[in-house]
Amino acid sequence: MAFFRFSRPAGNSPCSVYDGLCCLVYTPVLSDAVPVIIDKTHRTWAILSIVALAVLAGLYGWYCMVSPDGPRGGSLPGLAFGILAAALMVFAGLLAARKKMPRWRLGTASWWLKGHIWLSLLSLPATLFHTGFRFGGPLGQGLMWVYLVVMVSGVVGLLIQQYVPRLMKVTLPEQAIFEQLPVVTRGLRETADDHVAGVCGSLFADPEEEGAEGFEPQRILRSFYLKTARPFLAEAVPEGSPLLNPTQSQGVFAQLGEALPEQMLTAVQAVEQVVDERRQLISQLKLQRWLHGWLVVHVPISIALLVLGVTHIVTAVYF
Amino acid sequence: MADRRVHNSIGERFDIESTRHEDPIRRVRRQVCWVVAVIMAVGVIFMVWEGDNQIFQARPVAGPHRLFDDKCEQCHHTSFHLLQRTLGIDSADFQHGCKQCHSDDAADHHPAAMTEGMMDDCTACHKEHQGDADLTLVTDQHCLRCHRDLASSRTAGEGHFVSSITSLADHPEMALLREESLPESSHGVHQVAEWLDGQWQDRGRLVFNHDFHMDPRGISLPPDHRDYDPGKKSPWMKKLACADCHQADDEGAYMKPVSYENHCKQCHQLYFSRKLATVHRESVDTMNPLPHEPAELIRGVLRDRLMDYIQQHPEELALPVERPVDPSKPGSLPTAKNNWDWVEQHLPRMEGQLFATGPAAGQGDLKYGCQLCHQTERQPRPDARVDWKIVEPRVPARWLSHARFRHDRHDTKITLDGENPFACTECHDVKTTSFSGRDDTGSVRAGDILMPSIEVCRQCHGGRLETSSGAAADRCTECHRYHPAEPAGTAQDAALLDYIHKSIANQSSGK
Repeated sequence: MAFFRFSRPAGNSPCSVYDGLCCLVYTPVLSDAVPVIIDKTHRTWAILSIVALAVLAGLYGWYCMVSPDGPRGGSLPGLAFGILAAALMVFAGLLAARKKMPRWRLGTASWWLKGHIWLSLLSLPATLFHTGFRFGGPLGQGLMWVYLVVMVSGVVGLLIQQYVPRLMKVTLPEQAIFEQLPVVTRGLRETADDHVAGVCGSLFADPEEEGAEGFEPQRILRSFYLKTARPFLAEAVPEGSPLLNPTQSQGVFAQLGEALPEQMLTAVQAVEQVVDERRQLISQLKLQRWLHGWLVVHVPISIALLVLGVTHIVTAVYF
Repeated sequence: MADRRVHNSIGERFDIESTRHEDPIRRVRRQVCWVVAVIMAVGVIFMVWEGDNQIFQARPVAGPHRLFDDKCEQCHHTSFHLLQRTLGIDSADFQHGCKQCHSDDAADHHPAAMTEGMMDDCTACHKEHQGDADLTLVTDQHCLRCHRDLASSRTAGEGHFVSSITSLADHPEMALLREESLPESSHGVHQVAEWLDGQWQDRGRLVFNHDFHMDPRGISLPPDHRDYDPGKKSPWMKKLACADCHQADDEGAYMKPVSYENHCKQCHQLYFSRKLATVHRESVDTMNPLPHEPAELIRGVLRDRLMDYIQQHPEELALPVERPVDPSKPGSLPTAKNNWDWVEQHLPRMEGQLFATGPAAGQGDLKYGCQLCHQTERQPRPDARVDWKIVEPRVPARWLSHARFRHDRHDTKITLDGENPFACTECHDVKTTSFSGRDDTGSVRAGDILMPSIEVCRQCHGGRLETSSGAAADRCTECHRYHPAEPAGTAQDAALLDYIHKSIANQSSGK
């Protein structure tokens, strides 16, 4: 079950990332047009997690009532909550191992991902019940903060994974395979070069044409292409390029079209199309970095959580 | 111009080697993971190597334990105890190391609590690692573990205590004030009181009248009393206050025992006979009272003084001797043959006047014998003589042995009107009446128990702050102790001082 659908922008012109996020925020509509990570297949997991949360909360409430000194991590119920939370975290961490062993018949990757999501969420109340909603001493506080960073980054990643692919699908109809982006960009550049060379004769100015009458349109087109459009089609896009913004880009090309004769407009339109596609590829790159970059925070902090968690368990049991 | 993307070969349109290159994001992630793992491992190793165990504590220890809070082994004697206990391989005698400083002599509240495994360790009630908390403040829930349903939590056959107490609100009345008797074998009330005539009465064997002594008009003072002031309008009258006799101990908690020497002697000099009191004295102004001693010593003093007297007045040998005090048998004895005989003839009569009660009492020329304040026992001898014995007073030093109290903290009470002094009579119901208009509502008997009812305590403890009453805590530990009082100067002090000295020495040497 999808929760939201993004309303398509007017026409087929691609949106910028900003426009896409605006669509996301301001025009949600119930629909199942686009597949999402949290879909109807998660229903069972969600229900079981909610039921488990209710049971844990009830047990914690009862424990608080009967405990003479209030909830403590070192009491038997507190330890039980702690062991449960640790087990949930270990399971969540095993997702990485499962991905490394795709041939293992220990449930599908999808099942493991669902377990990773829902059991990780369930580990939060289990942890809080174990600590009695306290952060404890120095090691405990460090462990708790690391854990919260892992959880927050995980939730952020979940939201990113939930909405960014759909955003890309809706706003970037011309997206390419991520690993092929450099090749595709080079191809776009060559295509645009061909279009401009076709009407200007060459991308490089002929000295005989300088100052000669009748070659003004070629000079205009060539100048615009070399100074504005072609850099935009390079690997590294210059900051502040007017072509990054689709509205501004549209205006630039409209203005260019007015300054050129009609026989050159076809080339101009072709270049504009290439620029639009390049813009989508830039958006795709940005979104792709969001889509995968959150793991640069989540995974290393999880390792820190693992180390601190083991230290906490050993020292707590030792004394 | 045709779109090259359609016609170019696959090799020109796609990078077929892309799968051989690692995703840069993944590469960065892997590198960051390694860095984090190394940093964390080094950090943990450093923490363990440095040996500062405070890092691993759940929360700081209580203030008195801060001296060694980095030395976990001081209290945690066994490692991995929790794991051992879980696996069932630990020693049943495990306890935290509390008793290496806290006296091993401290008895526990009830042996059943220990044998049934409810509280097999100090930490069952006293939870450390709560920050700077008072470890003696135990929550009521620990007490209620047993006292909520006492019948099912202890051995059978001990049914004299109320079976269910959940708070001060349903705390039973003090045993001393209850209208029921209790088995003598098992309740501490018998140490201070006895059940007589349908009520509990003071077990002490003194004769005392609070009402008389607390007369608002005052009591008569002898001329040699320290407060006798000729300059006053009524120099011989003094209005007594509770504090004239009842004074707090050095700690301010309880009252010192009332003693004859400190509190009674000023008014009650033991002048029994002017004749014997002036032996070896120049005049009646320097009379020598009898010592405040047991009967057998008094007998000796009387014998000495009689002997001294007859030696000073040998003419009285020829006088007939009245019989020993016994109005039913009037008459006199034959005259004495010698001084010793004279002494032995007069001594029983003197003793009778001192110790006997009833019509024979207080017939000395200065009146009042020991029986004014003491109960005496008459012990006939085979030779028809009578030995007297003063019954031991046995005035209780502590009345409510199951509770603890601090009088100094009850000097004042804070109400809505502010802080006001707390009068003794607000708790100890000693009603005073005028001497002439006595209506017997005051305490005239020594057997009267003047301890306050539990209702008096509830006025403040657990109550709301009002104009007439304050608001105080109503925890069980406010009044009750689980551990009876420890003997002073035991291993606790020695062990603690020893540790302190060693710690100071180590700090000085830079360890």
